[in-house]
Amino acid sequence: MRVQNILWWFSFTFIAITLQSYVAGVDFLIPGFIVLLQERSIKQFLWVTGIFLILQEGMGTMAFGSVLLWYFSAVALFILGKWLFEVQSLAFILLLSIALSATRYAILVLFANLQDLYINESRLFDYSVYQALLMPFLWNIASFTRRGIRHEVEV
Amino acid sequence: MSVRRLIVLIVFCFLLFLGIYTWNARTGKWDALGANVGLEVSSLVLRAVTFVHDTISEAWNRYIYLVDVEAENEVLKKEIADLKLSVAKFSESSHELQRMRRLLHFKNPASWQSIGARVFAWQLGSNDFLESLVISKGFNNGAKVATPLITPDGLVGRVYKAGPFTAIALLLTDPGSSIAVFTSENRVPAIVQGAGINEYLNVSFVKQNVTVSVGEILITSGVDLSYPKGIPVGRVVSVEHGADAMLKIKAEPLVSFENVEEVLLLQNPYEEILPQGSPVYSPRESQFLIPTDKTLEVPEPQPEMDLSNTLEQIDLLNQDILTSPNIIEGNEGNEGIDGDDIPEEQALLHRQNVPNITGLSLVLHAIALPLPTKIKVSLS
Repeated sequence: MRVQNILWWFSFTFIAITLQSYVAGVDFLIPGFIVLLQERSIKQFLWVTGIFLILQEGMGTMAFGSVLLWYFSAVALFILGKWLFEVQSLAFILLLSIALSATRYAILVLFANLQDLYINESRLFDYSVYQALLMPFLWNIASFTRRGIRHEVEV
Repeated sequence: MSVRRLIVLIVFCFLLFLGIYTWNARTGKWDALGANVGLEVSSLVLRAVTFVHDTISEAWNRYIYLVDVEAENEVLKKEIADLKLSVAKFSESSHELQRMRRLLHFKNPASWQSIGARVFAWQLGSNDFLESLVISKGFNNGAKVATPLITPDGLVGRVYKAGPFTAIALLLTDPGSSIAVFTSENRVPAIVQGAGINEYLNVSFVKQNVTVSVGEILITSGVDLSYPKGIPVGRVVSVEHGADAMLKIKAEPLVSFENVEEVLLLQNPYEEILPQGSPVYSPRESQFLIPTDKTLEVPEPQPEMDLSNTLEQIDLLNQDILTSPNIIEGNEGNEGIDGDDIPEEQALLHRQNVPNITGLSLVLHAIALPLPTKIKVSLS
């Protein structure tokens, strides 16, 4: 059911971009990226990650680098967490959300300094908190709606 | 995977990232790809959402929610009558102004054409931390980088990043936004800098011995050729004497940014003679501080551009602008503009490139044009 899989990713991306236009400073694509990591399909991972990176880099006002580094850190944290937790568990996702939000805060402050941009750190902190709070919830919905499709991908 | 392999992989990825980062910093190709593909694809989604939203809200307002329409109709009719009177009055003033211009041999300023655009979103994306908005025009249809955005209330900002048919604009409230202005009544030059959304604008470089009143309107001075002269930017809300030789002035923006749904993009008539890449964002390090006896490294001229000719043309246009009336009709800035309005200090700087610290920093931050040579700056 490749068509069903493509349609799911298309719908997910469409909804995520729409939500991003209403909620500033939160990455709605990252829960889908975690789903990608959990599904362990290399081909799907490369395609979808490439699209996500171009979309987020294009929508943002910072120069290249911060999104790629954050998504890379998501991969690193996921691999690290896999040794200690069951990756499908909610506890793992909660901890991953907090760790990813903290990483994002650090990366954005670093890149704002590198690119000589003004950045409102208290607002960035708020955005990171929103991200940490929303991510488990969004991952749960994404994971739930992909149950049938995930089986097909794994097979 | 062994730990050793993992470490090697991480180091390799990090080096690869640094390589791509450096390559992009030099060429800007990844950023261009992001703007041309990522921003455009996102805008397709936003256009679809906007279309659905508009259709539903139009159906609701036209056919279902008709409460108070009759009363509103009466009010609008009265407003139309008042506006007709105003138009007749200003039409006569406009003709008089044209006659006066002809009498005084003033040149008409080059006209800035305007193009309408729709606002799609605010701070779209997790990678967007500047005060910005997404608009429905790109570099193919009128929203090139640095194009000014206005509403009937005043200035909104400038285009910061442009895709083919979508662009991201930097609001004047962003701390990286700097605009050269005059006060409308006393004609005091200054720089307006953003301090963040819901914060007052900072008005810098105003000496303590000049008069600035609370309630005065700040209008674009036009000296940088990036904005037409006379667009309202903000209203002065406080004037205090600071510890240094400058006044501490705060101003409020005239535009209510939360309610902006459409904007006008002003097409710069000087675009062809301006050097490309005029920066929209003023980086933190350069904010109004030029150390004494420091040589400023400025970019080399573009090889394909005849800068001597360009600078001559800019100088001529500057002189035109400095002595020309406001081009925004119906604006208070139209009144009483003559050669005396331009402070001698600024006029000298434009005409003779005299290294004056206040004027130079004003112009460097307002114009932000890459100058062709190194400039030795010293305080005497």
